[in-house]
Amino acid sequence: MKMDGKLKLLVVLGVITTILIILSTNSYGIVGGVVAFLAELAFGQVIKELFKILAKVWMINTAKAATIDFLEKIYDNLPYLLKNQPAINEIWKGMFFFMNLIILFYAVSIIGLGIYAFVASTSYRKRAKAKMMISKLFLSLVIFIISPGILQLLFIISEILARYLFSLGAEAGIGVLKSGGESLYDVFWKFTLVQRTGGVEMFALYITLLLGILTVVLLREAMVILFGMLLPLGVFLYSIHPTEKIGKGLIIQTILWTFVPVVWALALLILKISASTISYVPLFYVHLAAIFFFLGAPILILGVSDWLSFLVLLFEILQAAPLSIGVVVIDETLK
Amino acid sequence: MKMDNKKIKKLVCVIVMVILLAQLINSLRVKNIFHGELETFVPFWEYLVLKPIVIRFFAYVVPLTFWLKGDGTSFVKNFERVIEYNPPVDIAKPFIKMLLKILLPLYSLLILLVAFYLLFVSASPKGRAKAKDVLWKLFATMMLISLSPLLIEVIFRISEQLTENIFTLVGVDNIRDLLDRGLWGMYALAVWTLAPDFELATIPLVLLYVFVWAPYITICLRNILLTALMIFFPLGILLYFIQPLKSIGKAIIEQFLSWTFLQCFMALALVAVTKAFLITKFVVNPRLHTFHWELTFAPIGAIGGPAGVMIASVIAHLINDITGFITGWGPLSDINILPICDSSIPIKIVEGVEIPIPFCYTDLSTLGFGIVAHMVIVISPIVIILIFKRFLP
Repeated sequence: MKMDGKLKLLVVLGVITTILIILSTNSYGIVGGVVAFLAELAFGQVIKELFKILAKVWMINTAKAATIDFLEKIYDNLPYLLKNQPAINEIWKGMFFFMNLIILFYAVSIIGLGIYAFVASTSYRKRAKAKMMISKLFLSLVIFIISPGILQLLFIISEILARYLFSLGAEAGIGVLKSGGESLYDVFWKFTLVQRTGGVEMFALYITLLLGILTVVLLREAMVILFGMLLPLGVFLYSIHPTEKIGKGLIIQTILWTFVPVVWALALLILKISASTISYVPLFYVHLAAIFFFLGAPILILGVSDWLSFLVLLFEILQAAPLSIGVVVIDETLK
Repeated sequence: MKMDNKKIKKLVCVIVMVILLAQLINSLRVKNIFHGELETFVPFWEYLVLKPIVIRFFAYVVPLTFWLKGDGTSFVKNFERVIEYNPPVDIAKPFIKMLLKILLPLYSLLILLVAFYLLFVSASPKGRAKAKDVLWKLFATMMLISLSPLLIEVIFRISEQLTENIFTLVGVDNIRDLLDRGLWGMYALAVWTLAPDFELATIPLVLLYVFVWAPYITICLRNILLTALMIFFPLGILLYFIQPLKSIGKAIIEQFLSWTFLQCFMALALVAVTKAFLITKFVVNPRLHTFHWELTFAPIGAIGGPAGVMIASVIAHLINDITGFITGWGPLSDINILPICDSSIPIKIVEGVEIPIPFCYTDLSTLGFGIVAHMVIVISPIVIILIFKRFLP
């Protein structure tokens, strides 16, 4: 019993000491000091690095939410933007502005040619030529008057074709585009944790591509309105011999920009099929090439570039991609 | 009794462990807080406060904001005047006079020669008809060259008037609003990308500078080229009527007309983009707040529960107000972001007056069309040169 009493006393003293030590703020026990020193030596740097990475992850995630996630929402809008043309009523307002201007030129041209054909001209040949020009002008006037309807018809055809292609599964192609971007972000993410500027070019490329897709898709919306408004002018210029080329150019541009969504829908469908069938190439490059293909599709149809130059560009990009990763790796290794 | 001893031993072991742990915690706490080193918290301070807010924000974002509010948006403020501007014809007059001084004696000589040919040399009716044709052309070109300053003036007036009328299709204010918000949208993107690291903001910042400078550069290039072409215009008329040199004359006149009417095309392109912006509906149109500090401090809310949310909100509002104070917009925590329309600008109501604050918010549609609006000004010359070429007979 005596021993029990001593032990109890020891325990009580021990508890009191512990409480006192915990409460004290400036006492260093010999054992505690040694343990603290060893712990700091072993874990101090690790904890510090972990906190550093944690803080960086926090900040990058915040920035990603504000920029990349924000810009990536264009993918959600793609099906709607490609399946629908701009509101025709708004384009008609612009068309009527030009029609009001051009109708005067029509009147002057027809009256002038009529006077020449029936009064001024002396030879049969010249009269016949003038008459032919008048009939051409009349035909063009008819097309000019119905040009708003023609534009609407073009829009309807384009919408039907785009919707049909989407019904075949073109939407899955958007997933391929998304994967391309995500792959780039993954590379950036891994390298940026190791080194401050690691993978920055990947981030730059990704944000450029996202802005590129956003810009090209919205540029199409603006261009179709622009050339839609100029369609009556194109019809008029096409009917006059010296300006025939300009008129032809304007009409072609209107048609091409109207059908760009169909080309994009087709490109998405092709991407969906080809992404799953290309073998021996890492998916990273397939997805990246998909983005460039999507961006290049309108260039192909507009005839600014040709297939060969586009393929050369694609080849250069594919060659440059692994090189840039390699540069970072070498940079990291040397440091 | 044995059992009791074992229990006591275990108890003593636990006590010793607690003592050691307490010592460890205590020593770390004492070292960091009371010795003022704070090493453990340095990364947090450095990456979450010092670099993004103190260094990058104050050293870069604040001057950038001031620049954009002033010189940076100079084009946005003056775009219609800049696009409608044509170089004054008076500057070409001395050159045209000089050209006429050289050409008129030459013309006189040529007319005399043709007259001489008609009167004395020509024998066949075909040769006489050809000489008459040349004579007529000489008179016509002489007239046109003499009247060329007036002709240039008339062409400029037509182009200016047409440009002005094209702008009325959507209203100048709508176009200005889109251009302005395009710039501020890119600025918002730059602010967010430079928060974690300066290098990440390279693309948005480069694009921001390009959008500020490129329209001015393109329009300046047009004015420089137009001044040169204005001087060469009379020479172009002359060369156009001389058969062997017709292609050169044709090129000069065509280029002059293309670059003159480029202003109409630029206006039309801006009208088209603004129209597209006003009528295009987005299925998903996310918003991006330039100084959305709530987003930055959201993890505090997530970790700390309701108290954390409150702390995060207080910090965010405080920084918003400091931002507004530094950038000269006043406190930003009471901004009224109109929720009805996605394309509306956040406004602040100060003494009953609505002050638009374009720089603190953008959305995907506004940013996208804003970029396109700046882009079309730059690509307009390329489009017009590609489409309007070789149109003279």
